[in-house]
Amino acid sequence: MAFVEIRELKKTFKNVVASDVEHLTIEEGEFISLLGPSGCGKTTTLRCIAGSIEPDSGSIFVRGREITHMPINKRKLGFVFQDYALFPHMTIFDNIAYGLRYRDVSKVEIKKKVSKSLELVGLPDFEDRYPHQLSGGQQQRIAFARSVVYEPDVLLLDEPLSNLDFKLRKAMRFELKRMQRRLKITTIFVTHDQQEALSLSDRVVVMNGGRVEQLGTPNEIYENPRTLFVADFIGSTNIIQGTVTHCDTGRGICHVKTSSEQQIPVPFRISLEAGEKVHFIIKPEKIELRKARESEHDIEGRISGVSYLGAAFNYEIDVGGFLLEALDSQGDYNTQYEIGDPVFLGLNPAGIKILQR
Amino acid sequence: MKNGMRNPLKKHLYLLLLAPPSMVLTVFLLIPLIILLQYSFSVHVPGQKIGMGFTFSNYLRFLTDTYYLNGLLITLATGLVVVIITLLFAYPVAYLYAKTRFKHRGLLLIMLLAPFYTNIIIKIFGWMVILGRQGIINKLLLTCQILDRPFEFLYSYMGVIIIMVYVHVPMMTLLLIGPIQNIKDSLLESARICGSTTTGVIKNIILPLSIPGILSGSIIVYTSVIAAFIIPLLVGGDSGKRFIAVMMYTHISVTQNWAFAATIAMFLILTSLTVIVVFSRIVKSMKVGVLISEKLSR
Repeated sequence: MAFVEIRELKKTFKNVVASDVEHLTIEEGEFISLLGPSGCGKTTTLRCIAGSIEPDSGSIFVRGREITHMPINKRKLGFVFQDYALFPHMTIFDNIAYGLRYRDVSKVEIKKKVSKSLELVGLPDFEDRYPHQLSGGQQQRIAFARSVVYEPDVLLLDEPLSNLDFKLRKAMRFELKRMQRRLKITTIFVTHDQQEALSLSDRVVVMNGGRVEQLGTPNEIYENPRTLFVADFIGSTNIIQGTVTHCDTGRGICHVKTSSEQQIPVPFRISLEAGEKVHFIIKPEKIELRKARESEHDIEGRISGVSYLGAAFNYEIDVGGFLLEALDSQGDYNTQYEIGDPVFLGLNPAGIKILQR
Repeated sequence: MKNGMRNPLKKHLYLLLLAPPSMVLTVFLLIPLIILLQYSFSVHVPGQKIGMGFTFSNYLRFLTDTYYLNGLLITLATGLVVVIITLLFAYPVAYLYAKTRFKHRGLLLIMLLAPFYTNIIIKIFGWMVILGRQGIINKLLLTCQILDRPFEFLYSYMGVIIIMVYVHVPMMTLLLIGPIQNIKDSLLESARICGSTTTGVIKNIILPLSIPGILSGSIIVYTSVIAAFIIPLLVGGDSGKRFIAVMMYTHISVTQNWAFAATIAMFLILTSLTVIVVFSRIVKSMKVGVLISEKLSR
């Protein structure tokens, strides 16, 4: 049996399905992310596991032990809240020691464990301070220390990085991963930030409308989205929706007519039937921009927008009225374009995914 | 004031905003207090309300007469008893109100505030009807055969306590709601997840975090109780006369010795202030100051 198993979990609020997870298993030591927009059910699912929300039906197992209806304090879980939820009237020591006091741990042992966990989060000598004397990032580390010090079976993280500023958030991402690796603790991480989910997780669960939309490694989720929702949610993606008018198998090009009557030639390896309704998914970084036509697959367009991202240029290209996004990270001034410049889009057939409707 | 940002204009604005209340306080509180202080050192002339000259005899009389000292002691002790009982009634109500998910909370608030819309005399007479020898409580106790003759709630110390508690519960509740609402649910939840039992959460999280509210509510109710004279006067019977505020009232309206009444008032003011200062010191030493300072720095 898997370390954590969720079976047919269902929770509705006033007839709105908040969480409807058919089956989800998590291995020991795995870092798994529940990813999705707000209202997708990721937090509800997490709270069902934590016990602060009672599911309507279904069951949750941790280490083969059913915890679905167990009192919160008996579940042996750790939880890091978005607002950290440190006890403001207690010192950092007392905050971290709080969970240990409810376990059979001697005072000497408590002292040892607290200072060990403070070392883990890189904040030794903080024992006597109060939470309000700490910065957001420090509070976050303490919250992490507090929830792992008593060695819970599973660590639950509810968007713990979203209250930090951009730079700190990135630093904490590495930190979090490092600490999780070291403790080898099974972790369920809830986030709406796909970058966080992709960079931290062993596997990602993309959720939508309470359901699991796709489950896979970060790479699978990013490269092979199985549904339109996943494709759209993970990173910026060009989605060409339309009907196949005819395929030129000789040249490997399918002509697609979009809903707004534009004809776009899309290079593709498999021949499609005319009349088939499809979504082509093209990641912006898979589009190569060329000043001149290099291959007969190239699509002709015109630059309609440029935005400088520092490490890359983000271009908006008008292809017969249809707008495509391309990311050029060459950083080479030779490949720079201005608005209005004609451009040829080199589309590698291998970089194009297709979703049949 | 963590960020230290200060607009120089703001200082003038502060002074401007402070002017009206400080003027009102000077005219209607500070000056009368000074006059009162002067009265308390004056010599009582029989037949005249306002005394003359200067003397310490009023203070000596108060400090040497056990009647008055006992009165002060009884009053202060009653204040403590009333505060504790009021807290016991008000806290659960405040907690429920603060944490309820009930949609029409406004309605609950109106119900809570209803007693405020009623004059205190009317409230007291209402309780007289309830607590009287023929009142519903006595009738109920008699029919249930718990008592064989009516119990004298009124004109006794108990009547004073009951009505004082009743009068102050809504105020205490209101003062507790805010601080309890400030306790974030995530704190309680994370304590539970850490393994805390319900009693542990109450003891270690909810109560310590409620202390600022309990403190401010208690001080306000306490000072209100020790200064109250209508309740002991109307329902206290003989025991009501042992309250220091009633003694003061007697000296003003019966013996017409305003000088001594002023002296009693000075003692009442002094003890109130002492209680407030001592109380806040104690709580501060309990590290609750950290909490309050955190609030200020937000």
